[in-house]
Amino acid sequence: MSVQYSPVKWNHNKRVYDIVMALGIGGYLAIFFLVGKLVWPGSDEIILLRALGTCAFLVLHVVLCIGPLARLDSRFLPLLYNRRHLGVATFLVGLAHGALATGYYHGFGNVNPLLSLLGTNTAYTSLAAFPFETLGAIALLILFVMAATSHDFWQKNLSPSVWKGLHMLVYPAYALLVMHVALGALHAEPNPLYLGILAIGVTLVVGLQFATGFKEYLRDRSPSPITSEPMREDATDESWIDVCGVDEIPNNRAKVVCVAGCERIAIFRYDGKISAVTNVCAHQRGPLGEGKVIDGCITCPWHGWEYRPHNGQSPPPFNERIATYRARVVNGRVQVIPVPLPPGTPVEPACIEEVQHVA
Amino acid sequence: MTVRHRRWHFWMWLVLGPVVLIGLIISWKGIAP
Repeated sequence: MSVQYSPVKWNHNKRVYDIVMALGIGGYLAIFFLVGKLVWPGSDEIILLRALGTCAFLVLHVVLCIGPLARLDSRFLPLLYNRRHLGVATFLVGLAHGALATGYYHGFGNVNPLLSLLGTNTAYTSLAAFPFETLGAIALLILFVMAATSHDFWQKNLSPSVWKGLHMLVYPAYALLVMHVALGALHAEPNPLYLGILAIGVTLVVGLQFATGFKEYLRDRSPSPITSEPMREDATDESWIDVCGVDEIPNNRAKVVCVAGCERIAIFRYDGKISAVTNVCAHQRGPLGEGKVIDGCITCPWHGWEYRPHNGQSPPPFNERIATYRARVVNGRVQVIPVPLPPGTPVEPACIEEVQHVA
Repeated sequence: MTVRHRRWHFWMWLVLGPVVLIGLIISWKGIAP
């Protein structure tokens, strides 16, 4: 979080992340180039072209796998923390690949290289001669838009929903790149080994996304909510639902409950109190209920955005707010009214010690 | 993720996943010698 614009909000973790990323990309390119010199006798430009192309594609796979991996296992969360830098790196390496390819194959004629790239081959109805370069160019354009709007400045001005929708374009871009590789590189060298590597990559990405989706689906249908009917907005005191025992919530942690037709609710236990807030972070929709209470604030596990449990407001000077819920403790059980209050609404926390007995 | 986001994600992958895999198979069969 930051109250003023800065190109990159550096901290120790981000520096380490970026150094490892730069070393990984640099090491891959160097090793690929050296091995390529031994395997493929030919021009250095073509080997470099392949090194850059495979590197960008590989990093994109890593980017797409980090999200579902972090949802399946919290040990992958540190990779998610600075994923946008990995995304920007994907674009830059892909741009280098595109620029080199355009210059090498289209830069020596009388026609403008870009016009030559997009206009020379128009055999869109032929599978064997399909202009695969166009697919790569469209994907690169999408990655450019994403890289250019990756800063929180854009997220704030576009609104989180629009920004998230824009950045979901990474999946169509991935599909375009798979076809770019299938119709380009695999056409030039139809080696079953290369097809196998590509198929493994695609299966991994698609499989992880489906595995995560299935896990979330099961969680939404888990028996934690007592009600199976969506709650109405005019819910009253009669609408309290029992969600869990106090002992089920670790100290300074939360239990996430799912109510049919509603957003998930994160019920935090801290300082002998219980507070309920939405499970959705205002930043990038991160799962707040998987975070901790640190220094009195709920801290999102994705990017560290903070909110006070009793009112869903970020500590000054920040002004982000999330929805809160009414919660109480009855006979050692936590009950909530699963109707969200306006973001930032203060709610008196339920005291664990003061056990209420309801007849 | 919000409920809407999860639904959107699910349906997108339900369409995109098979499209990419089938596209890969067709393109391979079309260009393989």
